[in-house]
Amino acid sequence: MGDSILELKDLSHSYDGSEISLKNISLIVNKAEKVSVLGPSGSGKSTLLRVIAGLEKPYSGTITIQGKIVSDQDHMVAPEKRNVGLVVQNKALFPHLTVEKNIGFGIRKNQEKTKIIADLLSLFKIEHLSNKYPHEISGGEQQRTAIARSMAPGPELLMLDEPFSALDRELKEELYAELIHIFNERQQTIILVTHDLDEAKVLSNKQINLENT
Amino acid sequence: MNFNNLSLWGVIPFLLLIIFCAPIFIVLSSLLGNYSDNWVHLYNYVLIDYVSSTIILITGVSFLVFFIGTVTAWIVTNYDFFGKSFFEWSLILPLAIPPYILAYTFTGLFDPFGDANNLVRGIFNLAPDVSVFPNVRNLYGAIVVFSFTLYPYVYLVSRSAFLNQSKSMKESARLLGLSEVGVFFKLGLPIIRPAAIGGLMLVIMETISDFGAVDHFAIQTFTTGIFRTWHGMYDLQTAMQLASILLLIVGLFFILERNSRDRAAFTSNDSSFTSEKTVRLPKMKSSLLFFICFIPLFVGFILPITELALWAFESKSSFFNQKFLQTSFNSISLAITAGLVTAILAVIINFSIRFKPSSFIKRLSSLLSIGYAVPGLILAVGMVQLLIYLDNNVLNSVDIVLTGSLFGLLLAYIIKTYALANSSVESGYESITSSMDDSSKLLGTSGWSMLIRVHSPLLRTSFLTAILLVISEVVKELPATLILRPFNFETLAVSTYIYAAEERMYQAASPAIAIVLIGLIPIFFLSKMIRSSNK
Repeated sequence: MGDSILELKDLSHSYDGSEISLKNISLIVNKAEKVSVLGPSGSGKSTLLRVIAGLEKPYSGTITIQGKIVSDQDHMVAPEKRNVGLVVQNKALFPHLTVEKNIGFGIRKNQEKTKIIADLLSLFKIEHLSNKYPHEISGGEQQRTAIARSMAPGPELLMLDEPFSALDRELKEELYAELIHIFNERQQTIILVTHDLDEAKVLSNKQINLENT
Repeated sequence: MNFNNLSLWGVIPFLLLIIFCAPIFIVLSSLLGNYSDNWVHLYNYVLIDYVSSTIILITGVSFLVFFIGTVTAWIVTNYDFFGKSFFEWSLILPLAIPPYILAYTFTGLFDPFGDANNLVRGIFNLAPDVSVFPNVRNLYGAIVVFSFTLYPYVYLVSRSAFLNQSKSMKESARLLGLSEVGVFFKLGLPIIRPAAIGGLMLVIMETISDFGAVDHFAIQTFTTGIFRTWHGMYDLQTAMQLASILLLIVGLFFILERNSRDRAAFTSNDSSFTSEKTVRLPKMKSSLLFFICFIPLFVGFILPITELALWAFESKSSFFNQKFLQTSFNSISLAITAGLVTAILAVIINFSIRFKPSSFIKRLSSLLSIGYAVPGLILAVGMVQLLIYLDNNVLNSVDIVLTGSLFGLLLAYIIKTYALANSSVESGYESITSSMDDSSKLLGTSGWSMLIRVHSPLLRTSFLTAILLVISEVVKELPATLILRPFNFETLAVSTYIYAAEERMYQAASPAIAIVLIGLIPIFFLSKMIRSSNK
């Protein structure tokens, strides 16, 4: 297990202590692995990502990231200290910041901030948008910016929660090709939540069905 | 800030609630104390007057406001007549005139030797002892004054509710035999009744809380009674007991208003029905509707503004005198300080709800808005007692430190206006999605840092709106300022009150105009919203 980035053991979660959204989930994700999480609506796919990110507290079980327990009965490490990134469907870009500043939001104390931003702008082919605000760019460009922003702090684990569901087919396919290239080049570990089996097959090398886990 | 010390966000609203409620509880606690002999005097001679004049005032104002507010709202939403788009927003302008300023201009116009009587006598060459207009210094004059300054509360909610009524529903009613007027009385009005009653409750709360107008007309109400008992009989305990009774009455209307707000939900129909065409009218009918809408605007805004302008013209060079500049500075600096502090508190409280979302904290925070319903006079009475207690027991000071200081006045303003700031900040927070918060946390920005880097820039407009709302309210506030101000410290409202009490109306013009101009700022934004909602 030395190469594992994420390890979930008997993870359960419930809202308000009654409605069980995740039940005894166990999963290991290794370095550079790309895992898709599939499952019907309400199966807890998004909740799983939020629990891993530390935005929701699990009911029971253990979460280990890079060999360090970040959540169990006694520990609850804050989201910003888990070294994970999360991109959601509605992108959650900060509307008052430009593309460049959105990308640099999480690395303001990093000495190489300018270089990291420039690299990501170039990697995602959005250099020309650096001074634009989120409302001034297209949906695809917004999604590239959101993924670039999540990757800027160099998270070991990047989680994508149905990030392409609002985009049209053509744009999705264009993005898939770009992202596969970027993720492979960076050896980025990915967990992708999707309801699209084709998308899961293209972007990941391992698919899990939440219902069957 | 991390997840371990989040409880701080729960403590802030709790602490504020204690501070905000302290003066109110102090006033109410007087009911459990001793009852002085002055109660015998009050009971035998004036209490009946307080109660009866308050009931007549409330009843008269309610009828008139309900009539003006709903009829004008129905007309501007359903008919296309000359001046419709102008009246849609201008009918709220009287909100910028505090009732006490309309009262001053009314007496200036309609007293036997007032400008209106002089004008008519001059035109028709009447004898100097002929008074054309009826005496306004009575309950009926007060009913007119309150109705024509406060009807926009009902107009605003009624207009919004009428806009949501479907055209097909009204057409069905016509096909079923109702006349145009019948549709208004039997369909339009019953459906919007809960919303309109909600607005009416606010009007009633404002009416029974007023001090300046009823004092000017020498009407015996609870507020003037509290003031006289305290400053005439020097009996603070009895004044507080009277204030408690008034507070309980206000509380009743406060609860009724909340209930009406809940029931108002059914007045909103499917918005797909809203894009209806208004009925284009022939000239005669169009002129009639213009006239109906013009009357409240004329009485509630144009008339007092004209009279104030006349006084300002008469006062000539003394308009911008040293005293005016000083009182303006006092008012504006106090209002800006109160605005800033209140808006910052509203942001912190809303952030704490956001950061630690629990129903308990939400309930605590909603209670913080209670100060808006408390009449300024009662708040001031409670505040004086609180400050005296703090001076004697907490600061252990021989001299008074907090009592009669700007601190007490500012605190009263903050308590009174928190609800206004909160409503603006709350709506600003609705546009910040929770996924933005999540992203911010994952990118290492949480707690205060998130508040400063993410929320603050996005809340800029609502924050500024909150400050403006508080400023306009603070500048108008009379009774609390009158009681809590430091010795010899005058604001625009106090200065207007003192000049009017001394019948020096020309001198009262400059502070009164300044109050109206500042009061127009939020009205400007509100009318802009109404105009843009029509596009």
